[in-house]
Amino acid sequence: MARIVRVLRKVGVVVFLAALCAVMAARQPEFLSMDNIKDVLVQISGIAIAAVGMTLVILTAGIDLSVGSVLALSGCAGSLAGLRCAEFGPAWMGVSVGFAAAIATGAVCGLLNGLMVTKIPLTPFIATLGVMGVARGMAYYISHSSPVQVTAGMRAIALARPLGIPFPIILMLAIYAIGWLALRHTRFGRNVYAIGGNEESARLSGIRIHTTKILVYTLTGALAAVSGLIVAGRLAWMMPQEGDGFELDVIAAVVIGGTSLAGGQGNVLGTLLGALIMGVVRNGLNLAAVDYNVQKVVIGGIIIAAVAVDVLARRLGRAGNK
Amino acid sequence: MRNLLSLIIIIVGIVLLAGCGKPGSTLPAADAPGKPIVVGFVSPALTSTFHVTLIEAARKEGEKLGWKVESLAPDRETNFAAQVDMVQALVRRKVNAISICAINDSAIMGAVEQANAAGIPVFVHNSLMPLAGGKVEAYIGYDQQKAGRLCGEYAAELLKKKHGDYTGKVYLLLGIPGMHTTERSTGFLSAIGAHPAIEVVAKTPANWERQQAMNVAAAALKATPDIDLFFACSDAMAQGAAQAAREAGKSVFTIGIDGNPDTLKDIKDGVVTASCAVYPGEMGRITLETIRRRIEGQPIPPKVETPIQIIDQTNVDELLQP
Repeated sequence: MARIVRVLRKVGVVVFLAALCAVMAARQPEFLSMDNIKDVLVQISGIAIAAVGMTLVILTAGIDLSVGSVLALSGCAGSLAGLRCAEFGPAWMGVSVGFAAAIATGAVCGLLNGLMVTKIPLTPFIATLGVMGVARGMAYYISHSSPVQVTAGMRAIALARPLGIPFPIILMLAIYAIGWLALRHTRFGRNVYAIGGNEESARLSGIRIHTTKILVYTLTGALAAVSGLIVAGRLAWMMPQEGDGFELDVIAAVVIGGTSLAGGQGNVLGTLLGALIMGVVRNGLNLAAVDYNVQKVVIGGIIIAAVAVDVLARRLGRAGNK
Repeated sequence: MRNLLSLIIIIVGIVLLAGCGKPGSTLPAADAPGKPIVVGFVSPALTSTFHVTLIEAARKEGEKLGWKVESLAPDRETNFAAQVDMVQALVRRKVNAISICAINDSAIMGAVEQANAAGIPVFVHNSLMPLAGGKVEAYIGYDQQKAGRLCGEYAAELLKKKHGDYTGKVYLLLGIPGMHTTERSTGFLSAIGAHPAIEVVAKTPANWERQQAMNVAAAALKATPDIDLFFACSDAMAQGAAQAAREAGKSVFTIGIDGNPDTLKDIKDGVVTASCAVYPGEMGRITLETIRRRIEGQPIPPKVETPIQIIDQTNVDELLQP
């Protein structure tokens, strides 16, 4: 019974997304044009990539509020490093140094989160709230509060279209494939679920809780940096204000996708669907020229509905087991 | 899980197919017979009355022509990516023209280039500063430096009336550092600079906020009790300064820029001395008028300057007429 309810919940998200697409397409014929579908996928790529990390964090019953600020800090750091390097060396060096600097910055922020959550230990909410402020402040500091230009080379990669497919889409799908495989078929993935399911019994069964959690937070920081690079490449500039409120969009994608904030339940494919639902709603309402404030109301409603269905499903599942 | 995986595969498939196909151009253009002309206005956010008034006036002007004026705006002025997404949505719908007031000139360039590639004419409203890239048909806005200069000249005359000569102490309340603040304060200082006996006490940012301006002005009046005049780069800050002077029991001149409806009332009541009205409604109307001329194939100038005027108690009633 519980299993059936869980399957129904998953099918429900897919059906909901399909219905949403049908409504949007009926209202706005442009919605189903290939160019628009690619737009939607590129537009969600930033949120969706960071959401892979967030899914891991939430699966361990944690939360990461710092991803928006980390996106800004690592995007600024990477762009600045890329610019500086391009002055001296060849273009490819500027690009690789820029990417490396951004991802390293993101990973260090994530590592900091992980260390504070495990070694002090602080609750994830507090630790990442602190890093959220620190990273945002540093983003303003290193950029002198003004937009940082992204080098042509770094921009070219974000805008590349191998086989006509925008690179951010390919990158997003690749990261989801890896995330899915890692969660399903590696010991790391099993440990993540075990910690979120019951940390005490995970510890007793010999799982290295600290190592796993630190790895999860570090990965999340690094993925937020990748999102930052995609956003910076799309906009050609990185603003220190960028990603304000981004963490809430990322958490929303995970939650709509059916991952439980209590940990231990959910997966990255649900998260991708969650990000898609948000992207489709935003794009559809943009096409219909509906106020952004209405978009917020609609997405807020979807979050509540998704979680309410989860809770009810779990209740039903439990009743069925008795 | 299977269905989710298959959904991902379907997405990849669609995108791959899209990649093989020719980009865009299967949809009928919006100017096909029977379809009304659609113009999209993209604002930084609709949190201030300025942009709301501007859009309403443009919409009214559009109704006269039987056109549809649609308004899109992110929820807050830091959501750069959302603004780009909105321009993209208008491009996909192949609207007849797009007018943008960019949050950040640099970040919007890519979206302007996309509209250019789709053959959609792009206009920029509320700015006369050329974008570094992309083709813009015309910039429609007021000369911000001139607005500052008008305020400066007016301020000098006020001081002459008070002291019998061009002398006295003025204090500048600045907005968040950027183009708007620089242009407005430069204009004001150039006008004041013609009178060496007028002393500029200080230039302090109050971030466009009434509350902050009130705190800054209160402190300034404590430190320098004989300040004659506050010039604020926006109405809200002038109102803050006026409030601070009232609480300190001092009679000082306060001048702002905007001419918002609530400031006009304050001018009538003698709370604020004067404001340089920039007529957002006129700007909206003129923007649509410029777009109409371009669509009808008439020549248009690359820059269209919209009217501004100093409003004080002598002429405020004209504007307060409904």
